[in-house]
Amino acid sequence: MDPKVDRQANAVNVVLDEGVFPRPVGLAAAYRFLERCYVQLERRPGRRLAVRLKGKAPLDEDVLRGLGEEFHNELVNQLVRHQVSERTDQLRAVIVGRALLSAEPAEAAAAAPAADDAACLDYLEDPLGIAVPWEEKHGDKRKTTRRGKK
Amino acid sequence: MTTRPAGKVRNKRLVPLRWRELDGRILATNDAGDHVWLDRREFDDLMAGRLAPGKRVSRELARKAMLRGKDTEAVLAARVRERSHHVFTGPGLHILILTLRCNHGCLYCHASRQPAGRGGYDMSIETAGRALDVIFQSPSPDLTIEFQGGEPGMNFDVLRWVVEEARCRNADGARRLWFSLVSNLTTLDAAQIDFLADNGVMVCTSIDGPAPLHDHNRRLTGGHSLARTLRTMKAFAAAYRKRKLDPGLAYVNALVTVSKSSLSQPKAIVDEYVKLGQKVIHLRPLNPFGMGKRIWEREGYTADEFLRFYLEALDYIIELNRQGVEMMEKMASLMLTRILTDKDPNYADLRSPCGAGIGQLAYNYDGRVYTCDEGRMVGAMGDDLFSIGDVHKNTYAEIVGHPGVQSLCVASCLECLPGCADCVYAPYCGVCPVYNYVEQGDLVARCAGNDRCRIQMGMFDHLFRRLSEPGMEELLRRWTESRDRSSVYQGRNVETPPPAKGGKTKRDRRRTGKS
Amino acid sequence: MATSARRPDAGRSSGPPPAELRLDAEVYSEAAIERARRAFDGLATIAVRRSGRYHLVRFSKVSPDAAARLPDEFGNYALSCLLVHP
Ligand code: SF4
Repeated sequence: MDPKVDRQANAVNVVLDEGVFPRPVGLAAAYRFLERCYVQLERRPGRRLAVRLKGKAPLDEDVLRGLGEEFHNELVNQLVRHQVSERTDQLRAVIVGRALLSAEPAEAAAAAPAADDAACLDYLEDPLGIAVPWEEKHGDKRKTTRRGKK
Repeated sequence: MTTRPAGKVRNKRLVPLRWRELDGRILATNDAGDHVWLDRREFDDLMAGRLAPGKRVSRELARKAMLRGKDTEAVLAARVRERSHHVFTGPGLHILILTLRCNHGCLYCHASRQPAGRGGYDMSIETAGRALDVIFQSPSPDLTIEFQGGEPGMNFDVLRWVVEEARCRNADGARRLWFSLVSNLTTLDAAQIDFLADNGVMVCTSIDGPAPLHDHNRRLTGGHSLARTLRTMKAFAAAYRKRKLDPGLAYVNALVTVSKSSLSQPKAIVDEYVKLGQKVIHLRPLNPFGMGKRIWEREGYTADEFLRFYLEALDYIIELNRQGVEMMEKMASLMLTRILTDKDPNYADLRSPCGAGIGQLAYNYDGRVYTCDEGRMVGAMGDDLFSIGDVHKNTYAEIVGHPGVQSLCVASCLECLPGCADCVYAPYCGVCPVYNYVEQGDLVARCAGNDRCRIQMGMFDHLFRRLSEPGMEELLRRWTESRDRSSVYQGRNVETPPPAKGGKTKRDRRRTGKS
Repeated sequence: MATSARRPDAGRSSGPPPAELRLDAEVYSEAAIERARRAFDGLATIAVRRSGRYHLVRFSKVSPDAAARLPDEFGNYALSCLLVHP
């Protein structure tokens, strides 16, 4: 996955393995470079994705290589974000939903379950994963997929 | 969370824990904010399910709901709810930027400040009225209207109007109304001080340290900023005395903005507060919002430099406590409240999700509404990403329903963020997406290289280290015991006729004992 | 890799010569390309057609100010649309 500098094109090319970095991760990393570079993506055989970062102004070789390396870092950042986001999606839905509902005008909030009722529902549903055994929350995902209260 | 259990996790009684190795021991926390210290062996035994039930640490783990027992889940659920009270209440803090004008030119000031004599930067009564329309649509049972600027005292007529009008609109006493003024205290005259004391307006000012430091940081035409601020503080103390208000409750709060020049003088700054009889000091790092790059290069510093300063000051305050001096540091006190109690101080910097749009709203002088004051400062830099409406054009529902509010809510839901989701301090901490946006170009923090996270983590590390010292928890627990100030700051403090437009509020009647 | 290239008919119109951008259809959705086309409509005449696994985006009558950067900017915009409107 070494970055390959193409000086003539004023660009650096990175090819990533979509088995390791799924498509949404590659896209999110690429998105972060749009302000600094022209970014183009292309599928390659064998579940690989080619990313070309082209300078908006002429860049020297070191800067282009640096861009490629930064892109690697960003991939790792986005991969972790993706994994955490998948792991916590239900939790996020409950907390964010509850918080946004709290700001609704009084009439809208009144139409929703009362805070106490909502809280009971939420916590019986175990939004914080309190009832999820440690192994399921942090352990080997392949063996344990069960969520929520038994 | 680099520490890993030595073997496979086999303990079926464990509730989800987060942990961190600190000074060779392991600190573990649960979702309800309980913490426990383990040595390496105990940690491995705990994970492997080998910890003997009779051991001290086993009993502690069971008592702190870290091992599943009969009612553990219900107990934890109830406590998590109590600690997350803020996600049930709605926007309670409403910041009115009464003017961008200011008579000071502080070294670290934000780009939005305008010279004292320049016109066109004051909030009008019409705009303030529209802001109140929005504020009173918030479902929050507590409404705090905070006056900020610039120097809000320079638009005092509008301040006075807002206080009286808000009281009229709350004549049925349906809300608990609070007012607070953030001022440099160099423009207020005696009548204005009387009005603020009469009306229970909380006052907060800046004192950066001894006069040379304060006056260096906070530049006032004609100089002597500190002397003038202190003169007004004395006038407030006299006004409170005249009204026979409890001096333990009625006082002017002060905070320190730590500049580059402050870094070498932590003790001198604390001593200045002791000398002034302040019981609370709030040591705040500079924030980059709205500050020009040039100013940051001149006045900024690294997270490590701030931490060195802060921890030295904190240790010094603790030492003073031991010598019988009553004093606490505000940020530490809020963190300790999160660590040692289930109270929710609803402090914007230590809550998840953060308060942007769902806990607070900031109203610029011209009526534009922002998710928070930090967002407003970014707006002053020419980037209106955090603007979510305008009181002249939008209803409350449109403002809080703005997609920006949802984005910030998601981006600050700490339990779901990379780095934070697994951080031992997640039950106590909070993130600021506006800071992340300004510093890292993304609403979601990358904890590696995020100075704010580095500072928070350094503070938590130090507090936990100190808490584990013999006798220290008892001392620091006192920092979590804030007295309820509502008897002074929630309602009027004199038996004067009610505002012309409305009758006495229920609260006024309760206070005066008349119906 | 996606490219932008000058076409042989370059120079026939009075403005800058037409350019073409090739975007992988397995990455860029039609909806993203269409959004970008609409966004850039005022700056050029933009024609999109499918050729095998690529979207071929052809820019003609390009406004002189935008000529040099238009295909690349279009590519960036289309990519952002993939994330903002997945
Ligand atoms: S901001 Fe830093 S200290 Fe706070 S929870 Fe996140 S990782 Fe932990």
